[in-house]
Amino acid sequence: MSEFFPIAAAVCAAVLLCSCSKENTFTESFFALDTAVTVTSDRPLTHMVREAISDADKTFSKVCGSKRDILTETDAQRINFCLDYAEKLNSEYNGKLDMYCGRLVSLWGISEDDPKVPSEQEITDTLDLLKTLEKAPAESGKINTDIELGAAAKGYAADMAKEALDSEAPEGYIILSAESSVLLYGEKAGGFKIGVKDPLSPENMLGSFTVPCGFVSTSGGYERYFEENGVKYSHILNTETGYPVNTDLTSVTVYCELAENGGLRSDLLSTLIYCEGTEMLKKFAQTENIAFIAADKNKNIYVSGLDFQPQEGSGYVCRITGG
Amino acid sequence: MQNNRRLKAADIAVIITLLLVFALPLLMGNLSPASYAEVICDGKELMQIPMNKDGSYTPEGITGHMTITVKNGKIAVTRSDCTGQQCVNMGYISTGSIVCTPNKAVITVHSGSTEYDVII
Repeated sequence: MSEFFPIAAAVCAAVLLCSCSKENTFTESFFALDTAVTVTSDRPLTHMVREAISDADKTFSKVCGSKRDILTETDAQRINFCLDYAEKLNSEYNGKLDMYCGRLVSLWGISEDDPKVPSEQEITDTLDLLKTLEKAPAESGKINTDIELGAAAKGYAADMAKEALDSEAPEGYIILSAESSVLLYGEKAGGFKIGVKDPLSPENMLGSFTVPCGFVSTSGGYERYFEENGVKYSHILNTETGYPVNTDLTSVTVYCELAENGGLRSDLLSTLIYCEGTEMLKKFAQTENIAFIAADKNKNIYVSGLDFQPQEGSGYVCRITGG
Repeated sequence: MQNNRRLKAADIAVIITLLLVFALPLLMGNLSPASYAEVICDGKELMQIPMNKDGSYTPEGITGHMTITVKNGKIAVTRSDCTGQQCVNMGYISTGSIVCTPNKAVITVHSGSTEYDVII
């Protein structure tokens, strides 16, 4: 008895610990940044993230969608930081991110209750207007209808949540999920396992990958879209054509390390790569070393820099692009 | 010697019994995950819907009318009088959330399974 008892006790304690740790999580769900936000942690820390997200929401609700409002000094600073960062990525990766598409987004009513396909004339008129538009920074004390930061807001908010947590240096882990942007913070035994949705049937999974901590963002036309006369129109618009971006990709998920501006970077890069299509994936993987998972219309998955486990029976073919 | 061997058999019995007792909650949890969906409107929880039983629900407290249906362990907004119909377009889900922006309503599935830490 004496030899075995310590081993038995240790094994039992380990099993007991495992079963307990699953129960002890704190979760908070709320509505912000035009989406459902869920914060999960093994410590009572969720309020810190909620406060940071609410703060970000105050700024970005003024430059996303239709409910525009007067900008404060802080709002203008945050917005201009996002604009500069998008421009930096554009020149670095030869991208086509256009943050001055506010009028086009309003015309389509993308983030409103009743989106609709505008007439050819309306689109031509808006494109003419966009061509003459001076791409000026946001100014405090004014309402800005030109800038649209839907592609940056959640990532920037995730960065704000990270900063808030950094200042407290908490123990344990925190997961912030704003649907298409995620912050994985702190240490979690075995890392964080991220399930990636199948853009063609979002109730199923493409597969999963596990990372220690960082930011993950997804862009795709499959969740925010509307149908008119049997045609699906996605929410990511092209300011050259005036219509939804024509890409052969269905979703792009980008992973960035837990570094400064990683949230904004992952959010903008997922949109930037999505717009470029499969043709440019090799470049993003091999030359730029961006970690991503991309899916296309022909059910191919392209993986770069991540240990991706495809879901069995998903019907996709997995291709390693590099990185 | 005989006595000693019997003691060892007893050891193993003790280990197995203890393991079973301790592991029981874990096994039960995995066998029958308490999967449910939470309906939140404007920050307030309106109701919890069990995912293991087919049914139809119309939660009170949502500005517009909304019908939520559970079928084969999946949940969907089957009717909503919002104009965008994004929530209805989402179809049936078994993980993640359905959002209805005009109604400020969020339906989040909390599955008993801990396969993923987060779904994107």
